[in-house]
Amino acid sequence: MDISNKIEHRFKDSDSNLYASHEKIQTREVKGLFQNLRTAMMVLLLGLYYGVAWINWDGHQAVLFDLPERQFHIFFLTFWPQDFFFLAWLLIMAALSLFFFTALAGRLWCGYACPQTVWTEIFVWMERLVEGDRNAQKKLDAMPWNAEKIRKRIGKQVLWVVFALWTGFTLVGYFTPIRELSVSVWDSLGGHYSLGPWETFWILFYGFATYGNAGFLREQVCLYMCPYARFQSAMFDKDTLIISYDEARGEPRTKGKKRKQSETRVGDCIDCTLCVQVCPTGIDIRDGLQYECIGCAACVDVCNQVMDKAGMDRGLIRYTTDHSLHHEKAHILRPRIIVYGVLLASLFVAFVVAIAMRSPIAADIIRDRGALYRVVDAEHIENVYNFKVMNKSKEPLFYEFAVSGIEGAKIEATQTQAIAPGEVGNVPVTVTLPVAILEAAIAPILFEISAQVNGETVSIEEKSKFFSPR
Amino acid sequence: MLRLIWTQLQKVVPEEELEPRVFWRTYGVIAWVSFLFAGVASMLFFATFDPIEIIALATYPVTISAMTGYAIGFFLFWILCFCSTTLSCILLALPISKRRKILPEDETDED
Repeated sequence: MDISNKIEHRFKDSDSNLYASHEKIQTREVKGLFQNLRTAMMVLLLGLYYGVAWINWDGHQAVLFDLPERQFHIFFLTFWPQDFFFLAWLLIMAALSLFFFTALAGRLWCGYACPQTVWTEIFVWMERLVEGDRNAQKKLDAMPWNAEKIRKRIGKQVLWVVFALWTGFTLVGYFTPIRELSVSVWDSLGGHYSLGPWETFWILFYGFATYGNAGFLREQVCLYMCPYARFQSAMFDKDTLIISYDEARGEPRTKGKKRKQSETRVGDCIDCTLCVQVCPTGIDIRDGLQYECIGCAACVDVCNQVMDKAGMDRGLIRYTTDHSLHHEKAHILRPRIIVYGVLLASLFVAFVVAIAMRSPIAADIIRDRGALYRVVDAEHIENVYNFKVMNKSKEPLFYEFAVSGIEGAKIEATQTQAIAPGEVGNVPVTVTLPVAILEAAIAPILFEISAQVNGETVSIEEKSKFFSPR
Repeated sequence: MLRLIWTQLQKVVPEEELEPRVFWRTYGVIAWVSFLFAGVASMLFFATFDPIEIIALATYPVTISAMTGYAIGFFLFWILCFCSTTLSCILLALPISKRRKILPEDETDED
């Protein structure tokens, strides 16, 4: 294809597929093993999302990302910005798990766990509740605006909007204590507006995002917005679990009467198109593996039902691999799986160990910005530091400060009160060193900070610099 | 204001790109991708800097809360990412005069 053809293809396609207007996909309801699995996952994940926010732990909300205080509470763990490293680590593990599970079992994430899938499913469920099944929905669409249509449309929208707002409210509830937030929301609804401006904004913003993504955009999010959908094929190989139509068995697909009249062999596919009708992204799985397929297995469930009715073996559409589909040997353990698996397992173990071994105290040293040093007398130089000491334990702490490795160092710290659990305290520390031992204008200095936690002495070391006129 | 931006856009962006569906899809994708990276940028930035401290260091007196600080930071990143991606998209689209040379029979010639 030369350049002008390419450009023509790119720009002159406005009537064809590329820029075609979106057609609403109304899926037929499915029953079966994988649908049950998906429903179970939906209940579990949504239950966690809406429920966990309300759990309290040790006097605080169990999961709370407290931005103003800069503390992340996750049950018995508390993270500070200083622990950002753990978050980065966690994200790397999440990415690696995605690689691992994609290589092993295809788009499990998309089909069962992705918030887009989960929320779309609950929105579709609400739509069915009000408007009825696929046929009833199509009828309703074609209907003129009469009382029934208005009633059903309003009913659906009310359900959707309330649920979306509740979702936005819950999300904000992970950042602002949800019990207080619910009181503010209640007061605000009662006419006494006490909700903060940003809380209001984010509730509406995320409510709108939920409504838009799950009610309106749906599969378009997977097709046009999701980066993973575009990249996942790179993680696939011929042993990856995919949902596939068994072409050798199904073709030539033949309908009803023709099946009996046919003199040649007919395939097992009776061309009932149910697999297309249940597909949430509106594709025909019989066309082969497509990037639009989110691996939800709705077509597997419905085709199995049809095969049961038609008295044929199940599995015309099934979870399989490219290799086993072509009757070749399948390999579960293969280099990429082993590499991802080992990496993931070791990262996970290291993560748990690192978190378990986190020191309950931490300190950041900020040098006094006012003066670099103060000459005490002919033999002594003084530097002032501001220690930001953090208490990550569960009890109030007093800290002790020492200079390690320098003889003749005098240190004076004034901590007036105990630092409460989870708090950061400022402790000014004055260090006086004899001039004789100072070799350069800026000398490294090592502090030892210790505290009694649970009857045991815990200590950490922090580096800083000592300034002198030399 | 919006109308002005629109007429200016019509001069530089091929007609098809301004067709409503294509236009909304393009800017929807731009907004979405910018949102993702604004999130990443905010996370990295605010893990290192406390907005309260930044506000205290402002060259002129600023009185805003920490939450407002986070929100402003996030939106600033979002707007910056959005502008940068928009400009990339506009530059990547073939200029109208260039298209006339390559596609002489193109309908956009008529104007």
